[in-house]
Order: sequence, then C-alpha cells, then structure tokens
Amino acid sequence: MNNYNWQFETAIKWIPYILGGLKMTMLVAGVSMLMGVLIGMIVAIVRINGKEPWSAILASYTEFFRTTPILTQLIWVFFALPLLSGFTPSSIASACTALSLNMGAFLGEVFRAGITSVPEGQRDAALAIGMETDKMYRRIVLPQAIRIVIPPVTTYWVSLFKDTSVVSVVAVSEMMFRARYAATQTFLYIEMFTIVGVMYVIFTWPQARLSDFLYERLRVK
Amino acid sequence: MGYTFDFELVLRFIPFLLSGIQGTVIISVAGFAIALMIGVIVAVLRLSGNRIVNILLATYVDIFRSLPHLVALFWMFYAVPLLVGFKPAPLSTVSAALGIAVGAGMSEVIRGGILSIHAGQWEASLSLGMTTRSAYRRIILPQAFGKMLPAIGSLAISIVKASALASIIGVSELMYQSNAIRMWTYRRVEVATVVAVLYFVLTYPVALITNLLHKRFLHQ
Repeated sequence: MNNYNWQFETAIKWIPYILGGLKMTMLVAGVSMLMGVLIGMIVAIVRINGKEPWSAILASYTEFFRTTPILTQLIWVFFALPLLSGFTPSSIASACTALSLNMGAFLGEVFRAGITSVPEGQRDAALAIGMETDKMYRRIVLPQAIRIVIPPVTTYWVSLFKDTSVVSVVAVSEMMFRARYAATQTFLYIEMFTIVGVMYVIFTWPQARLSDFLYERLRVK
Repeated sequence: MGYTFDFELVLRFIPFLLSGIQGTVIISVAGFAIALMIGVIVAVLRLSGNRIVNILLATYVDIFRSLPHLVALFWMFYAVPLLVGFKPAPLSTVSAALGIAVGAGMSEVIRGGILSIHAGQWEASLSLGMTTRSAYRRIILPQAFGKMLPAIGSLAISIVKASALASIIGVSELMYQSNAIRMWTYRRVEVATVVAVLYFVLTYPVALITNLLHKRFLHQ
C-alpha cells in the first residue's frame, strides 16, 4: 500500500453535481422501462400466438438483444437511428431507444414464460365453462401470470437502473457521466468513482431488497 | 434515406476485429473462472453458519449486486494499482473486476442451488462417513451445479457482454478494436452491426451449450 494522497475534501464538493445526475438516471431508466414493458408485451403476445413470419422475426430480435452487450446496442442505435429516421435524435433519445429495445427483449421472455406457465388446466376449465378466449385471458390467465411475472420484472428494473451508467458513453448527463466529468476535471479518479459507487449502492440496494421481498411474498406455493 | 451501406470495406478489417476477440475471450474466461471460484467459496462460507462471516459476505454480495459493472470497473482500474503497489496488466484488472462483480450474483445462484438440494442427500452422505468437505465436493455441489446450470450460463453470457465495457477504459478487446475501425472508415452503422453479430457468435453457443448440458443433467 503506497501512500496515496486521498483528497476527499475536494471531491466532496462535487457531490451535489454528481447527485444532480440522478434525475437523468431516473428519467432514462423510467422511460426505458415503460417502453420495454410495452415492447415485451407485444413480443410475448405475438410469439405465443405463433403467427409467422412475425413470431420468427421477434424471436430473432429477442435472441439478438439478449446475447449482445448493451454498449454495442447503444452504439448501434446511436449511429443507426439518424440514418433510419432521417433526423438526428438527441443522445437521450438514442439512449432510451437502446435500453428500451434491450429491456423489451428480456421482458418479452419474462412475459411469455409467465403466461405459458399458467397451467393448461386453467385454460381448459375457463373454456369449458363457456368463456371466450379474450375473457379467459383477462379473467383467468393474466391475473395469475402477473403474479408470476412481477418479481422477475423488478429484478430487471434493478439491473436497468444500474445499466443506465453505460449511457454515459454517449454523453447523457446522468450520475456516471457526471462522475467521469468530475474525475477528469479534478484528476481525483478514485475519489469520484468511490462517491458515485456509494451513490449507486445507496439507491439500488433498497430496490434490490424490495425485489427480494416481492419474490418471497408473491411466490406461488 | 440516401445512405448506401458498404459492408465490404468493414469486412476487410475482420482480421483486426478477430484480434480483439482474443481480448474478449481472455477477459470472459478469466472473469468467469474468478466469478465461479468466488461464487462457490462465498456460498459455502455463508452456509457454514458463522454469523460474522455471513454478515461480511452478505455485505460484499449486496454491494456488488447494487453497483453497476461499469462503476466497479472504473473503480478497480484506478484503485488496484494503489492497493497492490504496481500497475497490473489491464486485461487482468478487468477480468478481476468483472469476476468480483459477477461473483456476487454467482454466489447467490450457487447458494440457492445448494439450499435446494434435499436434506436427505446430506444425511445420506454424512451417515456414510463422508466429511462435510467431501459431501460438498462429491454429492452436493455437483447436483447444485446441475440444477443451476441455466442461471450459471446466463451469468457467463453476462460476463461476455460486460467485457465490452472494458473498451471504455481503453482495454483492447472486440468493442475497442471496433471503435478504432469506426474512426478509420466512418462506416459507423456497418461496424456496429458487424460487432454485434460477432458478439452474438460468441455468446449464443454458450447459451446452446448450457441448455444441452442442463437437458443431459435432467435426464440423468
């Protein structure tokens, strides 16, 4: 251990600045989660219905976004979006698009698994007492599926919250970006990353615990 | 949309990209090995019943489950040289950082696996005169691993994906090489597409192999 001159007194002054990035972190995570849930629902419904070619297309979408790094997806969206849309979206929009597509792929699998894990007998029984398909879904299948799906969805929310740190790469001014900026301004790299690390733990840990609690609470016995 | 794609130019750089894959594979394999080691040790220690050890390790697990990989990576990158007194090779720092970060999740998975093994298995092994150690090694852990293969596989994939973050701190791996090619050719979308496909080629077999192994385990 050599004698590093810790300068937390200077670094502490940057805390309000770094903490100011929390709003952007929440915004990016929140928007991406909402969009991700929407995309995930569509993917799950289409894939369960199994109509080709849509089912196959969405299956490859899912596999592709689940197996490639978020950073790669972010860079891809960042450069491809202007070409595809014809105008240059803000880096926040690019970041949200990339994270939404990423979430959509994972949540699609969660929803699909949730819906298909409702026992076959429940559907048969619902149809046998004369329910139509959409009523069966609404009254019997989805209420049970939602209970199964909520815990894993909260897990994905927690990891999304952490993953927003990656969008610092495209200069979205969230917590990690601000920490990196503060570090380059002061050369206090370890101090700044310690501060932002503590912030992430403080904000994420209660959410992770809540997620654990929901797993326990909503478990189907 | 007057853009004409030029994949040919980018494909000429494939050998250069493949040299980056080497870094990605090293980070992933080393990181996974570290994560697995930490995972087993932490899981077994936490179940050993020592309260202080359990609290300490639970804190480690909770911290790294709440910390983005990127922050862990940056922190280790700057802190490790201070802690060990010299600057280790960037590849080893990154592997260690990802191993320690993912090790937290791994220990939870393995702990869950161990806990899910029927108590009768313990009783049977101990009554046969096995020590706790050999019971773990011969009876409990193999079954726990088998049960948890899908989760372990997805953690392995998440390490491969997280290795891309190393490019941000300037470690030469696939993503980093692709950034260089992007600067040279300005074929941004093409480069990003090719890299994404290469990552898919790296991670998809991991998913297939874990599925295969898991199926084989279930048939036993």
